[in-house]
Amino acid sequence: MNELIDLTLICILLGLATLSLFTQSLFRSVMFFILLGLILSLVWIRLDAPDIALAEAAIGAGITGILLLDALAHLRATSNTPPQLLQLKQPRFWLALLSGTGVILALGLAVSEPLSPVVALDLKVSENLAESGVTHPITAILLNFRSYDTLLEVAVLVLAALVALTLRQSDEHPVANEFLPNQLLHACLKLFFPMIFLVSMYLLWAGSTQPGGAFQAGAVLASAFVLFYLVGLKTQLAQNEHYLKRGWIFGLAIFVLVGAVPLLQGQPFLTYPDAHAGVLILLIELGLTLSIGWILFSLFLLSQSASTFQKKDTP
Amino acid sequence: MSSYLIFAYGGVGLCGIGVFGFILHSHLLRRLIAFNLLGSGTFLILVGLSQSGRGQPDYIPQALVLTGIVVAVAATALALVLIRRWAALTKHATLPEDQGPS
Amino acid sequence: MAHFPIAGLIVFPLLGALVSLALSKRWRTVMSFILITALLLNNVSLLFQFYGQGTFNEAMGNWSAPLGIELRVDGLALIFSLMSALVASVCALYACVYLSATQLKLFWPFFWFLWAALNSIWLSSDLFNLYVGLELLSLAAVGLVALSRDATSLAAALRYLFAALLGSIGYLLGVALLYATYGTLSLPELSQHFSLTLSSAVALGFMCIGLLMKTAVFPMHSWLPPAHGGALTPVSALLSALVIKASFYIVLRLWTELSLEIASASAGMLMGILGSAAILWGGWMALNQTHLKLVIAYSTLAQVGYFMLIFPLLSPVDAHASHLAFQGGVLMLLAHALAKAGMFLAAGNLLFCSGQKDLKSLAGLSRYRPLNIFAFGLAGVSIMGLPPSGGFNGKWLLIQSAMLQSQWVWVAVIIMGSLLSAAYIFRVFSYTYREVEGGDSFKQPAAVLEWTALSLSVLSILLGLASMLVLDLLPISAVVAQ
Repeated sequence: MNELIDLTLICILLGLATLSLFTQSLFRSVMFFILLGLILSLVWIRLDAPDIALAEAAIGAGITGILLLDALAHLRATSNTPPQLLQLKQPRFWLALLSGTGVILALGLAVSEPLSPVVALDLKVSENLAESGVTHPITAILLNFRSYDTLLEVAVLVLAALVALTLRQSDEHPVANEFLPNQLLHACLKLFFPMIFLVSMYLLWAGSTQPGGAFQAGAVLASAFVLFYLVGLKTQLAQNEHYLKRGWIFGLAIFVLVGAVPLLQGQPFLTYPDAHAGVLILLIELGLTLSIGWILFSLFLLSQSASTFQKKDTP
Repeated sequence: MSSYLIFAYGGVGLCGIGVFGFILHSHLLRRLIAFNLLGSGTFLILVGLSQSGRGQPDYIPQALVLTGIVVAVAATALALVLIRRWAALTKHATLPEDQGPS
Repeated sequence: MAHFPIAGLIVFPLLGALVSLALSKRWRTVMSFILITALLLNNVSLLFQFYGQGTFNEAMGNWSAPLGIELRVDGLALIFSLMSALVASVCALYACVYLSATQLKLFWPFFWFLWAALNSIWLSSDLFNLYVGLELLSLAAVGLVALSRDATSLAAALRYLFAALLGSIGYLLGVALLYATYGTLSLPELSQHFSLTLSSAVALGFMCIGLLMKTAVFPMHSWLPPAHGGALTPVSALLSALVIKASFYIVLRLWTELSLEIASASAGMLMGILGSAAILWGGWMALNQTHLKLVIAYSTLAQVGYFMLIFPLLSPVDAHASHLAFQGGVLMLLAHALAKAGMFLAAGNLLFCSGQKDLKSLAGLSRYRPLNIFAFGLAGVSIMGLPPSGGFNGKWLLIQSAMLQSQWVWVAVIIMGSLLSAAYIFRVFSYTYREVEGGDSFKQPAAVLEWTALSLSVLSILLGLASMLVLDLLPISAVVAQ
């Protein structure tokens, strides 16, 4: 029975993947892709990975979806020739077909080999969990055992925002808010924002004992900011480059400082003192949540001005 | 066959489709979608295959995938900014070598 | 304070990124140069620590591998870290004068993230951590390419981004398979359990293809010339000298750590063939370019080919020959970093003088800017592999290793490649010695720009005289499993 569910999920997944790549209309492509993200989060639940399911829904389908749809609206003006799938005379088609089949064959063979991992890393996680300061193993891995990875990963996010800043309109005219001045929407949003914020903070807090954590919380926070922007509420904060940048690096700065303090006491980088590990992890996560929310929102905001460059030139 | 392994095979399929689309398409947005499919397939293989070897949830690959998803979003957002700027400057959503003699 | 020098290699660049994003214009530059000095001193103290205690590991967060991530300091890591410190600080000095104020503001954070990523890659001994480092590096490099903001560089950045992303995913696929098979991400631990099975062969295949795509090895090179040739000059220097070395470094690490030369001779052969094709194709293309920076970019393609010749020369039976090939290859990597950065900076100055990209516009410059032509020429000596340069010693060691193993094909390829590189470098020279009618109307670059270019070129020559200092850091145990 369970296998039947799994196989159905896989079929839907592969079907959606094919559709999202080969539908004629680009809009439908993106829609299928977002749908695929949602199905994927079901798959992650079947794989006993609720944390990833949350992240996939919030970040994979949610944020990526928003960004793709927003980009789509601005790419309308470009020449869009629909893909011609069976260009049998084109070497590119054969190269693609060959590589695709090759990848499936090679990976399929590799996956079909029976496994017996020599190193039991999962046992080490549970052995050392008590000393990590949190009780949820994934948070322990992300913010303690392998916190160095997470540090570099946050730097990757800041970099993405920085590229968006580089490419924004050279003359710094703030983007006008040409959005719906709907009173009802305003009122609703004022009501909703505290609630979304609360959900975000809950996800953050829950992360130390159960699925959740800084990245999921940050994605939820970003969606609140985006909503705010869409109904045209105050965005002066976001127009000011200094506020933008300081918001991005807030989390990274806390992370680096907390990590560097032990160096002065003769400990390796990123060591937490045993007694305070839990508190320090929560502090870092709080900083990361705020910064990640801000970065994801900035990416949305700045990509607007990356594509409005030619507005004043066109008649 | 455990359900972990089934999903690892699903990941293999996604990777294959992703690579095919990535090479075939010249429209940059479609290429980006293909890259994301390829990423999702990789994550499925990582978690599905490791867990099928152990027969139980393994938190290490799960944590790695969380990191991977965030990195993929950052890369996607960066690519979108570049694509949008490129489209705004040239009115094309493909690279010059793919635009053909028009 | 034993933990300080190694952590500093990561902490200082990250601090630099934070500072350059948070502070105002004047303090940004001042603090950046303070941190650059700190990093140089830090590298030196790490070198002394290494002389004192030999190869050592550092567990991040005090969690030792395989649970945590360990950094490793050995001769190879140190050589690369010192190389990036030298090249990056000179490029920063150059950029500070060369770039406009708006460009410089954005240059600093990218520069610092790039340096952090490089150091994290040189030191890491964890497969997944290397993936995150690679992504950080690629995104920083793409950002730097896009810094000039015109349509051409945007196209170059997009092409580069897609190649880099595909490469990273290939690498990650391999990591996924290896983790599922062996249950560990730590490279030293993996090497204890490694055996060449079907699934680990597929894994390494994907990793190598991905990494070689990021290194722009023939035939996956088409993204490189527009990206390196079209970027702003200090960026071109950083990309060609350092960034492509990072993914190659990981291939080299995997190869020697997992002793792949014992597992499969044909894989090494294949790498050698790709390398030879790169040497000949890159050299031929460089000879046919009309833009100065594209000549140098194609020359990078050819030079990458020489590094690839390490792999067929690593022999499972002849330890001495393997050692020679390894030392020669690393010396070539180092010499190329110094010489190519110097060459790009000198070329940037020449283009600044004439205001055009074309080779023809160089006419008359040898009389007007002899110092700059000298800097270009010294770098060229090392790229061609004439004595007494680092490039010569590297090639000589590679040739020796090939002769010891009677692999004459590689000797022939190296000699043909050297002739090609001599041809394209002298071709550039011949343009600078031409005279045009009418007066020259050249702009004069700032003195700092010329002296920074010269300093790197001189270093690439000095490397030839002081090669032993470098080679001593690479004992035979670094390449042959005991």
